[in-house]
Amino acid sequence: MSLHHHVLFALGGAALAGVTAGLAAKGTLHRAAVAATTAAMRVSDAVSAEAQSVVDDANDACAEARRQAKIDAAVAERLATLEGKVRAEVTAQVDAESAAAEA
Amino acid sequence: MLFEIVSEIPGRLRLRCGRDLMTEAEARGVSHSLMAVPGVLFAEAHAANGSILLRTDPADPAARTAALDAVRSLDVLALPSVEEPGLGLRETELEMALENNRFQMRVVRLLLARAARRALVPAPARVALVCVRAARHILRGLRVLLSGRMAVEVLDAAALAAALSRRSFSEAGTIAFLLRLSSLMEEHVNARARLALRDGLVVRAESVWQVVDGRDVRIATADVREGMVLHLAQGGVLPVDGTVVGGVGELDESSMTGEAALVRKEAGSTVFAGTALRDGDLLVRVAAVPGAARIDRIARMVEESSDLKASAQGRAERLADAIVPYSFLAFLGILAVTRNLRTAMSVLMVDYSCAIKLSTPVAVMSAMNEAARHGIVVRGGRYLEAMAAADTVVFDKTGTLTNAAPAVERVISLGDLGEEEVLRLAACIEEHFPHSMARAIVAEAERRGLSHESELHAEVRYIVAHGIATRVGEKDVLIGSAHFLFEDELVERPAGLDELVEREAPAASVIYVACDGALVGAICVSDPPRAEASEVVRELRGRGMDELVMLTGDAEPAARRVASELGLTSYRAQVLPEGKSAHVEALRREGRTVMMVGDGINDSPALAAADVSVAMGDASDVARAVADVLVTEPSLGALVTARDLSERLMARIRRDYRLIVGFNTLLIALGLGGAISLTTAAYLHNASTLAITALNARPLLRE
Repeated sequence: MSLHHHVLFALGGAALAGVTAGLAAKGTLHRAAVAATTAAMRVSDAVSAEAQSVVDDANDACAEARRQAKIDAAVAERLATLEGKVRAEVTAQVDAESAAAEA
Repeated sequence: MLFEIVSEIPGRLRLRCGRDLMTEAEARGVSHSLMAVPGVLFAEAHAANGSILLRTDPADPAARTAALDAVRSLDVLALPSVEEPGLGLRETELEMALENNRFQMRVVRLLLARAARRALVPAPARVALVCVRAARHILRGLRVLLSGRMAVEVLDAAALAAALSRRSFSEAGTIAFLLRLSSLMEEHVNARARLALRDGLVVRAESVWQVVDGRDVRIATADVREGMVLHLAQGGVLPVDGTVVGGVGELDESSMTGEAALVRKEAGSTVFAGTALRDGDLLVRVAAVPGAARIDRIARMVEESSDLKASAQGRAERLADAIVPYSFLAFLGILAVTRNLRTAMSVLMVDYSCAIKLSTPVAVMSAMNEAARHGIVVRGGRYLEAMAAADTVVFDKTGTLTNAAPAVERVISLGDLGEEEVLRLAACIEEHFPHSMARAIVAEAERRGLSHESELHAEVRYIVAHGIATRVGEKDVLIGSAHFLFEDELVERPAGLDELVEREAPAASVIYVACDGALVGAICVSDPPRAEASEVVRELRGRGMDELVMLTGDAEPAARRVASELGLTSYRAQVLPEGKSAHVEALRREGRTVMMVGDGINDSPALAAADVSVAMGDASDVARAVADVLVTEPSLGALVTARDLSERLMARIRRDYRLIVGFNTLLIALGLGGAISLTTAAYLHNASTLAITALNARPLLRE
């Protein structure tokens, strides 16, 4: 790196330090830092709220699914009982009709 | 408070009230206040998004209305606030639910953050983030190494450093992510187990005796305040921290320290909540009413006590750390032979330690947690192990094998006092002593409308498993077993007494009462076996517990009848407390692993002597305080559940070992053979560790 570049960097650094000092003196830097921190905290809160809503909705969906599964299982159980009876009835009827036809 | 119903199924409502409405303390306060509404079974409010989950009785439509009205009536400017978790049963349920929520939130945030980083963060910045996260693990590994240990953390650090050195940032990121997920899961399981443990440590005595102007006055435990002086009688459990200001006693501090040794306390000694007075009589000035934070500290102490860890857990931790140097040796050996760093790194990326170290504690804590869900509080993993190994069960009779609520069958007047006077006198004394027989007598006096609480008595001398000697008014009163009255205290036994009692109440246990040295009455308490006892005995025998013994202080006929009815292997009648513990010790000397199940003050030495002790939910405070396992449901069926749970836990741990060693050996072999890349091996290794850990968090028993 040439001397020219070194001088340019030094001047640039000094100017940046001066601007930073000026902004700090006026309170602009503080306000900007507060604004940035506030924004970060708001984002963090928003992420928390969203994560909580995701968890809530997932739990609600699971509760609904569990309820539905219970209903389905109970219905299937009762249908199975009914099916056995209906099947026995129909089988008896068909057998009787077949026997009558063969006779 | 305004709200919107966002989800509803019968008996379950989810409301949203809006963000930024409440703090965490207010969310807890709202939950507590809603749970106090009649018909509301459970309420859980979340500060993050202002949601409230309500569970009500689905069969009661009024409960739904009441719950919604209660939410409506909340003032957003003055929401109830509760900073510290409570110690009630429903509060524990709430804390469990909040812990579940916390875990789910952390997992969701972790997944969201990973997805966001991948979608939004430019590649160079992502690399920097991976380096920062990996650096934390590497620093931790270095710290462990510098402390002279070669533990799993070193291996994690080596794997991450190796991935970074190969500029495989995605692999390093995945390893760090999986490590974080595993640690979240471990923390969650531990937190739940700690909550269950805390619940078990809280002995909820409803009332205590406050000393006011030299007299004992019964007050509710909730009304205890700092500075009060409490009278703790033998068998009592301290509900508070305090300083002894009078009396001498021996305290069992095992609920705090895990040590069964008794500690002598006298004036000036500090005493702690949850400890039990096994012998003596103390006056204690209240220093602090215990809160959840204090009980939490005790729970953590119990949890961290190496004495209480399952030896399988301790073994796993030692084994995991012991394997680490061999992994490094294997790495160097393979490097020397193959001269290929990539191939040698297979044994660093795929190791046995992480999975062994992580999966066993999670399995143990998860089993403790599951036990708590079944109403069984286990105060340390080692007790689950002992329960799985137990081949002998020693039962106390009264209150354990027999009904939790015995009833007075007959009061026999044997002197100048009438039946009611005998009962009044007995109830006046027995109300101080938390045993099922005592409760039966007090309950019978109450049922007959006999007032006894205002009577004065002092200098109570309680001789465990024998009886009580005291003064009531101007009279010396003795109450207790036949042995205590007729042999120890030399009260004259009237002719034909045994025949009279046999005729009046042949199946009952008998408590005698004497006044000024003369027998005045006998109280016959019927004590039938619990309905489930016979079935439980059969099931325990079917599970390999072949020696089922009953020890009782009761008379021979009552003991014989119960033992034969329940099909026990053997029984011993008229056993004193020291006899019970001697019998337990003798069984252990024979090489048996003994589980002792008891409920009374007189059982506590035997409970302490057994490999694992169980107190029933309706046991005396002292038995509940000293037992290793506490059954919160008043049913012996919990013993079968605990046995099943502990056996399955041990089977799970053994299966885990086989799976971890088998699968990871296969990965190393494939890696060395070049069949899979290092990255794939690392993925599969970490995924399998996580999967085994996740599988270990599953219930062992069917719901």
